[in-house]
Formats: sequence, structure tokens, C-alpha cells
Amino acid sequence: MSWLSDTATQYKDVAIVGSWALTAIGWFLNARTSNQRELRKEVRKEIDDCIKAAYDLLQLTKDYYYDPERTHDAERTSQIRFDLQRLLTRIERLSGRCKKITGSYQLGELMDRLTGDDFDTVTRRVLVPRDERVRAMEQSVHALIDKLEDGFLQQFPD
Amino acid sequence: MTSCTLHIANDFSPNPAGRYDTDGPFSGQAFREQLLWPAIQKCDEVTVDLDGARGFGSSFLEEAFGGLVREHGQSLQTLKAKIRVKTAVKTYESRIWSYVSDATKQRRR
Repeated sequence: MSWLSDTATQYKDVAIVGSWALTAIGWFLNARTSNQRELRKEVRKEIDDCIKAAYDLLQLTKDYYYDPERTHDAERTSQIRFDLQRLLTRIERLSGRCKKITGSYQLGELMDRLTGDDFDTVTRRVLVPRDERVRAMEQSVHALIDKLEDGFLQQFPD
Repeated sequence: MTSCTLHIANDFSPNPAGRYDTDGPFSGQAFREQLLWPAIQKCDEVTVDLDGARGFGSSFLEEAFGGLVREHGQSLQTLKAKIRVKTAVKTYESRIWSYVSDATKQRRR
């Protein structure tokens, strides 16, 4: 009957080790899911903040182009450049953190639409809301937001 | 091999703005003519450090770097071999090379 006792002891050992292994795996999976959920929340908030910043920047830039008095408004153009740099930095950092959230082409387009051509120059043309350039600025903001949203969905599919 | 570093915020202005000299003293044209082009002529390798400035507009960067092609007859290959762009904002670097590339294409037409 000693073989029976040995077998029972072996099963007991396996059961003890197995239960510990299952606990560890469960703990690992739980921690991973929890971390993923936290990351998703943080990234969602950062994307929402970037979207708001992009809208605000668009508004700031449109005000500059609409107002004939702002041609020599160095404070306004400096603010636009500063806000643009902040937005670029934030989105690039986000891309570094989440590989599927990209937007380098859209960022370049946004930068050119808002601060290209005669931006910051004395020959700046005053724009009206239905101007083609204003539409292009809005389009570049839309494209960036869509790219961020698509990246978010790919990064966190569920 | 000689190398130079141009730190825009320290050596030129922390608030670079505008395209041409007529737009102000810290325009893209002024940067190119006063600092960048002389450095390119003098040194084998020029590092342009963008960090520390209060942001850049496309108009400034396009005139400063695209202007090297239009006004000084440089090619994309020559400039890529000579200029190193140092910046924490990768978009600036990609746009700079895009402006140089576009200016080269326009010159060929």
C-alpha cells in the first residue's frame, strides 16, 4: 500500500504547486487588465485634452487672420506658435507611449495650414470665414482629431 | 572637419518670427542670412538647435531652410550632409526637410 501513499503525496504536492501557480497567473492577469484599464483612461483624457487644445488653437489662429488690426500683433502670433509647439509636443509624447496613436503627417499639415504662407508677416492677408484657407485650417484639425481617434481605437480595441 | 552649432534661442532670438526682414528683426530670412548661411559656408557640419525657443511658425522655418535652396543654390543632398537639426519636437525636423525638398522640386521646374 506504500505505492498508494506515495502517489497521493505526489498529487498533493502537484495540487499545492498548481494552486499557487493559478493564484499567481490570476494575480498577473488581473494586474495586467487593471493597468491596461488605467492606461486607457489616461490616454483617453490626454486625447480629449489635445482635441480641445487643437480647437482652441484653431480659434486663436482664425481670430488672428480675421482681424485686420492683428497684423502687427506679436503677442498673438507668439501665443499661436507657443500653443502649437505645446500641442505638437503632447501628441508626439502620446505617440511615443502608444505606438498605434500616430499623426506625424497630420501634425505637419496642421502646422503648415496655421502658421505657413504669410503667417507672422506684414503682408498677411485678412481672411473671411468662408475663405478657402480657413476651410483648409479646419480640415487639418479634423484630420488630426480623426487620426488620434483612430489610433485610440486601434490601441484599445475593446 | 569643422563643426558649428547654432542655438536659435540663444544665438538669434527666443521668439523667432516672420518670413522676411520686413516682418521684423528675427525673421527666417534674417536667421538664414546672418547665421545659417555663413555657418554653412564656414563649417563642414552645422547643428541647428531649435530647443528653447517659444515655438516656430512654418513661415519662419520655410524661409530659413527652403531659402537655402532658392537664394543660395543649395541642394537637398548637400544640406542633408551638412545640417543636423536638433529638436525635441520631431515635427519641426520633418517639416524642415520637407521645405528643402519642396524648394528643390520647385527649382527644377
